[in-house]
Amino acid sequence: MPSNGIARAHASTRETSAPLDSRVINEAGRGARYSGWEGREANWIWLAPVAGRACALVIGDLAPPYRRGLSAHFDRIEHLTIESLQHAMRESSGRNPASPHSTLAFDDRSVDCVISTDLIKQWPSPTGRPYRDAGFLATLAELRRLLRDDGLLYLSGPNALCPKRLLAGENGHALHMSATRKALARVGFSDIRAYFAETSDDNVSTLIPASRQAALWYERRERLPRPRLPLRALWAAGGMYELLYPDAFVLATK
Amino acid sequence: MNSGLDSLLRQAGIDTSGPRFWQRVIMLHNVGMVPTQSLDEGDVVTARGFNALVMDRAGTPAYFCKCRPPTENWIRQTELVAKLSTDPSLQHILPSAWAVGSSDMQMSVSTYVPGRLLEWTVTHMSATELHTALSEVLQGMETIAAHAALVQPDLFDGQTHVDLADRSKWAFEAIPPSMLPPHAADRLRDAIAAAGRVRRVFQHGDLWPRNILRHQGQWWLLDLELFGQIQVPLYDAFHLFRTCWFMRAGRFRKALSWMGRTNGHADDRSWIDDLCAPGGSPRPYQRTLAWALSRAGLTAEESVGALAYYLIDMTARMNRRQVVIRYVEPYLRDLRVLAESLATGSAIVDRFRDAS
Repeated sequence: MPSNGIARAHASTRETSAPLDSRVINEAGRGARYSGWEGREANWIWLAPVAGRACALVIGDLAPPYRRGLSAHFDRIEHLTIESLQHAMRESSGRNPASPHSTLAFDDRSVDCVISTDLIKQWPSPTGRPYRDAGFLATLAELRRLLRDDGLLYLSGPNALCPKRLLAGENGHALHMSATRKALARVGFSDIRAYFAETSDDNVSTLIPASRQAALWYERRERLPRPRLPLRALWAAGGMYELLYPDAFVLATK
Repeated sequence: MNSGLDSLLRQAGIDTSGPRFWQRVIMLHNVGMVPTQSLDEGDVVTARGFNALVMDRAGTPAYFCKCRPPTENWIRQTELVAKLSTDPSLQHILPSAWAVGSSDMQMSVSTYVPGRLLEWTVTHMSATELHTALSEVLQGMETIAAHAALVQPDLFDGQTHVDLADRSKWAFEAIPPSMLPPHAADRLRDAIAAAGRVRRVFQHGDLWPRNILRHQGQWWLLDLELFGQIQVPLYDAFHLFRTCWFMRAGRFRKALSWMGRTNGHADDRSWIDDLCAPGGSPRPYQRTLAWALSRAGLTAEESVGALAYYLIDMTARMNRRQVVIRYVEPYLRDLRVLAESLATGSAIVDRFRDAS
């Protein structure tokens, strides 16, 4: 069993799946603030391969509604900050660079799902591309160690190829779909699935598998508002769907 | 794929085998977590969950799924839709549908109907084409309602008539005076009370051009998620006319804007103005309205009450769901114009009397 006092100290805020606050819904019924969209961020789980539902580990921050959404799927949610994860990884590499194992205070195969919306965005990499960083790969390997067999890793971030981001000069700390997939495969993950996510001002949130056909049909038939010129559909048809969406995520199975 | 959604799709008899099945499922309109641990039955919040578009191996859309928490209402609704879709006389109006569920989610799966949405064509139709289309759609809806009354008579809750005033109480309470002045609310309340009790008729509840599809020479009606929950006659007709009017007016506004000739007046127009407008030749909605009124068999007062009910109910639902104000505002404008019309005389009642 791994043990590391420092990391254990940082592995914080054990959260059980306490019942949702029923006021949220009842207040909406009385005309108070509508909260019906709460927790929808966690619905990607319906698309993920079936994994255990006992324990999820959240790396970094998650908004409270997202956490409540997850708590509907997992009996227990553990939390680890990015800083404490990096600290533990640094400590480990200083102590025994050859073996990054036994870094985090979790047993082998003790977690069903690791979820992070921050890991890629906040990983300290001067180029903004952590995939070439040995420390990042070691971290992915360490997260894999925690997962049960068939456990899931969920990593999300801004889509690195989205032109809006590039035009805004935000070319760092984004999720490069192919580089992320390669990095995950390199540390042993299998069945790696990639999706794009889109949220419009209509609050229509969409998850599109990274495939030409899916992007094409979404653009042709379902995306709102409908444009007069189907330029986006043409891009999708031309295989350039990776440029169309602002956010992306990958799901990898151990 | 072997996911939670996957197992429900298999329950519906859909082939989910193949390592790349996950690439064939798109999650759409994701508006609320599923499962949820606390739900108030009958509350607007039950309309949470997401939709999924499932493609076949060739990459063509094959199924459309509405995924919601397994509330009693939603389970009953999915079963009703599945039952209706097997009725031979509705097989060219409703797509085939199945109801499947687990302890976490109840899903209505229907075959994906290709074709052209009315939304895509409504802005370019001539007045005659529009009248024909709308009356055919409403006839289709009448057919569905008639069959539903046979298949699921308990939807009527043992009542043959509905008291509009009683039914609209909650809606008036849900709209604050800052949005609808009390004197306008009073006028509308009076119009609804004057209509009294009207015969119950199942309504689609969300019959607008995005839920209507033309395929193989037939109009197909989609998304029966709210079907039967509203039983006030003409509700669907008013919603359909209003949304078509809005889409066509939107096109007109865009054209003016493109020519640099917009002066803001177009945005201030209300659908009610068009309905009440006098003139020699009736406008498309007036003609279709006359047709709908004659089929509904309501008096002019009852029809005006049903119109006021539709507007207040729709506005209240949108407001309760915290819909962006720019979408609610046109309905509020309609309510104010209708109230003014009722206050200054009986122009609208006369118009309805002429029409019927």
